[in-house]
Amino acid sequence: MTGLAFDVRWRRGDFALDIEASASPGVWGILGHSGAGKSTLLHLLAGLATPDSGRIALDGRILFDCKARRNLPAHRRAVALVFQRARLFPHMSVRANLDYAGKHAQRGRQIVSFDEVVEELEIAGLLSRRPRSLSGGEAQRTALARSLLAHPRALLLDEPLSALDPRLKRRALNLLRKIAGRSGLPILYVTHEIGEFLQIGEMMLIIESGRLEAHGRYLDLMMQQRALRSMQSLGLVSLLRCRAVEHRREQGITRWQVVLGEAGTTPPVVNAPLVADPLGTERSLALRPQDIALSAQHVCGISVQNQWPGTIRRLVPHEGQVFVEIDVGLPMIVEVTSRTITSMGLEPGSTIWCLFKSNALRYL
Amino acid sequence: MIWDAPNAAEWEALKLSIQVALGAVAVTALPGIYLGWLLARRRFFGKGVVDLLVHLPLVLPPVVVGYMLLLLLGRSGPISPILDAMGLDIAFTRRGAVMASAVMGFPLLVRAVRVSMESSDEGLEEAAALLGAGPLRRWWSITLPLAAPGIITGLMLAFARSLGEFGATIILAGNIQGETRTLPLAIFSTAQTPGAEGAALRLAVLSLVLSFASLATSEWLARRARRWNEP
Repeated sequence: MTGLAFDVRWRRGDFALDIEASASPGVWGILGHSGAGKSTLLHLLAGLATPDSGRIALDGRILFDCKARRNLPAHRRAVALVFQRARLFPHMSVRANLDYAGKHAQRGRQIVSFDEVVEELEIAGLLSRRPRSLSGGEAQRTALARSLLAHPRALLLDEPLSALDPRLKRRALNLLRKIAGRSGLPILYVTHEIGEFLQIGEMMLIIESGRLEAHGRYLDLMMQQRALRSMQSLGLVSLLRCRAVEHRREQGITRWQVVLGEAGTTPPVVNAPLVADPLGTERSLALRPQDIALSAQHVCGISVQNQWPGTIRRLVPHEGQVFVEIDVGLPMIVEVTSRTITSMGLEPGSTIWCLFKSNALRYL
Repeated sequence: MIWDAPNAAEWEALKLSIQVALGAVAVTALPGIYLGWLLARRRFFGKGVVDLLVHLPLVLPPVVVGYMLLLLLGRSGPISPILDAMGLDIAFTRRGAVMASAVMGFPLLVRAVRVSMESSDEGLEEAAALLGAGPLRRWWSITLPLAAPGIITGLMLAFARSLGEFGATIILAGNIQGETRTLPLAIFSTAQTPGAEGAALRLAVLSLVLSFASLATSEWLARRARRWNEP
């Protein structure tokens, strides 16, 4: 079996972790509030902590098996873990830090080249510097580069990009997505920001108080009662992958065409606040469920810039509110009160317009 | 008089002091660094007792340490059959002088190494492991270089302690000219000899110069190591 499969139990004092899940090759988000056990889980998988019982396997190779008394030490697992704090070796230059990873990497395995990492993470200018002289973001980029150059079989990321500015963060996320796509390794990405994660993946594990609440595709999870509760406070959003098509400076907006997976449908165009990105640039925009209004028909004479027709797919009630999944060519999540559902007579299959202001869109 | 050049016996005492001190440092370096690391980084059964034993020479009168070593390593001591079998004579030999110095300097070395290892970040060793570096490799490439200033300080303290060693040496190794009579013992002998005040003073000056030189060297080395670690 390829990917990372685990079933681990670990208890210290009041905190107990008990999680069974598997992550196929690709990018997985690990979401949960602080103290939920996300970092602990990564430590157990990487071999920095030992589960009290359970089993961990990576691509069919047993990393830990309590019953068989097998416990591979961290340096033989080929599992890289990048921390929020960069942990660069202070007595070595940035280049020596990167070379250190290459020296101990498994022979014959390469998930990325030195040049590509240096280029994509913009490290070229830092190579001769010492870690102490780096800013937080520079150090994080170096740490990520170092872990990639170890050419691991699984990559665990514990909020590794928290200090990066948005542009560099996008570049780093793109690189991760690319590597996951071509190298077939599982990447587990811890974050408490759904919007940030959705830029590189849609599969996620949601963890609360040391337990797995739910796991699967983001859109499916969003329609599960159980997952909703945790996800709501983690920044539930609809994600629009868009390409810039026009700047209307006088109106203060940039028009973006949504990039759709399947061909045939006319992709909707969205008006968002003006940005300086050149035309043709691809960006991800996020839209919160509570920022979308519903209307039975197109509305004229209204300040709302974006009006999209769609079809209702599902209704999911949650604490007096209802989450509605609407297919507008791509799935959108809208939050309304249950009164709205009855008064507008909404049900799966009905046609509806989604209205949202350009200011409601957030660039990721 | 005092302005005369040191005579052969005095030069010999100086040479012997340096030899014994170097020998003591050479013998204790590896176990001292390892034990400092153990005490800083590992939890094991009996750690408290080990810690206490290592530090004992620091608080006991040196004469007592020397006496205990003599009981242990002397001709009728419990280890003497083993030493005989190996053809090793410790008591009243140069080896005894080295042994006495080594035991007295050991706690200083262990302490300095331990403090420096405790203050360096364990997370860096974890990071190295996650990049695929095995335990030995991590020790050489991360642990040792980062603790280098502390290790150098510790080795130097042990060396300096050995230069000043008197009590334990005179009990375990005696005061044999050309064999175990280091500078402090030579000073003791001359100071007791009527009319040899000049010689005692000359030896004291030699001792002063030697101590000063070793201190300056250690400071220079430690500073270099620090600069190398923290640019």
